[in-house]
Amino acid sequence: MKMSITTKVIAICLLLITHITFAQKLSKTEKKIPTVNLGNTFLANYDRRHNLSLSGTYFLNNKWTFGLNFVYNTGRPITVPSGRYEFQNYNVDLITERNGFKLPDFHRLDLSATLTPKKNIGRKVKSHWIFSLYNVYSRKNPFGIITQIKKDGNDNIIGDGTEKEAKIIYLFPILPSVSYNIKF
Amino acid sequence: MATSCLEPFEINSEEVQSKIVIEGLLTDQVQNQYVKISRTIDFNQGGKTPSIDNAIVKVTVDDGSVISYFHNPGQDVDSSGYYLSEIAFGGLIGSTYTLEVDFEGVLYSASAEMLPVMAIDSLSYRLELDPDKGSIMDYYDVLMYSMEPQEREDFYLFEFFQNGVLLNENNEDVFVADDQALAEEINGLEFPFDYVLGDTAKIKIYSLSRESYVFYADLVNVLQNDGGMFSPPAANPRTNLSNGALGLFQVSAVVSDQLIIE
Repeated sequence: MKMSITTKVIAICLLLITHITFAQKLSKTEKKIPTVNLGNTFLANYDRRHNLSLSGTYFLNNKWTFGLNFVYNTGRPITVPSGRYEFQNYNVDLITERNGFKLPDFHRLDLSATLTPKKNIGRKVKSHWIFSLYNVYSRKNPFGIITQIKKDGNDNIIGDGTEKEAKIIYLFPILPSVSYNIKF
Repeated sequence: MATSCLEPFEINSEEVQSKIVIEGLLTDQVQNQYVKISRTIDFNQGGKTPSIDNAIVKVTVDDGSVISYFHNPGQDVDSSGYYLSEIAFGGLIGSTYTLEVDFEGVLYSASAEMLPVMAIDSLSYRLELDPDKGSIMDYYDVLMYSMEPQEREDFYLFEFFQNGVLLNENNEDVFVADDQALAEEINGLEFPFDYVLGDTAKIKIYSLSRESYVFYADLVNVLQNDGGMFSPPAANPRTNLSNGALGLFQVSAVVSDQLIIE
């Protein structure tokens, strides 16, 4: 069915509204385990309140096809220290609530372009190239948080060695890739 | 881990109530035994953590005797928060000791039995065998020999010293072992540090109750947590202390031995 641009936009908006209204109620996942978090309820590791996933393909001509993939998740809950204390010579993090902190939201845009050479037509072995960019705007999506004694860029301790700092770990910045595929 | 990237991050925690930290050590060495009491502070705050100097501390032995501890009897500026036993004494293997700390209307207590520790037969050293270290000085490995009784499940804490200084990388090392990981005949347990000519190398072994061993194992997870990549989320170490106190009441028999590399 051929739809005009306006109809397409309206359809997407309706889908998003329905998703946002129901997602909050349906996807809040909590856990309660007697020996964890002093028996209080806490958010499950996989509690991701909102999830959005968009993907589309645009067929330009016989040679080029473009693809787009966009993912958006509410940040996952993690456990962070809320204080610190001394035990023997150790500078120890004080943990209070399990999964009491939400990491920043996760979102990522991937783009791809598929090149199907003209010489494929009429051949038994067909080939095509795929050029893609993973995480196009290179968002530093946090994966976890670590804590350590405050250090500068050269790994030297700042101050008297009692101050601590937190750092987020992120996995992949922008990653380009090229692949060549053969079909027979 | 080295391949992933790190970015600084501000933890903005709401005001969390400060908790009490009790560090008690009772050994079989005749001395004034100590208990150190302090508080937790905000994560972003530097400096020494505040000590508690007005708690009431005592240890009760299973034979009924009670030993009181007094805060900083020597009035030493660096010993704020340290409570020393009124008499010098050494714990006995097989006895159970109960610590009681009375502070601001709450009684924090813990009990532990003093368990035997393995005897060290001897120490030896040898030149490090790995030629790829690429350093100008020669490094030595120090090895320990001992017999470890296998009939009972034992837990140990190890400390390593170089010229009198406790060795600890980044203040994150904890060396504990369950005797399941140790053979009956320990034939050359290598110290996890390198030594050079002229050094005095020393090892100290503490016996641990199961609860103390669990505490140290949990402590490693908090100290060395990698943010969820491979380790489980951090949680405060399980302790034998009651009423939400942090820290540990450790009762240990201790052995030590040393040698000079010459």
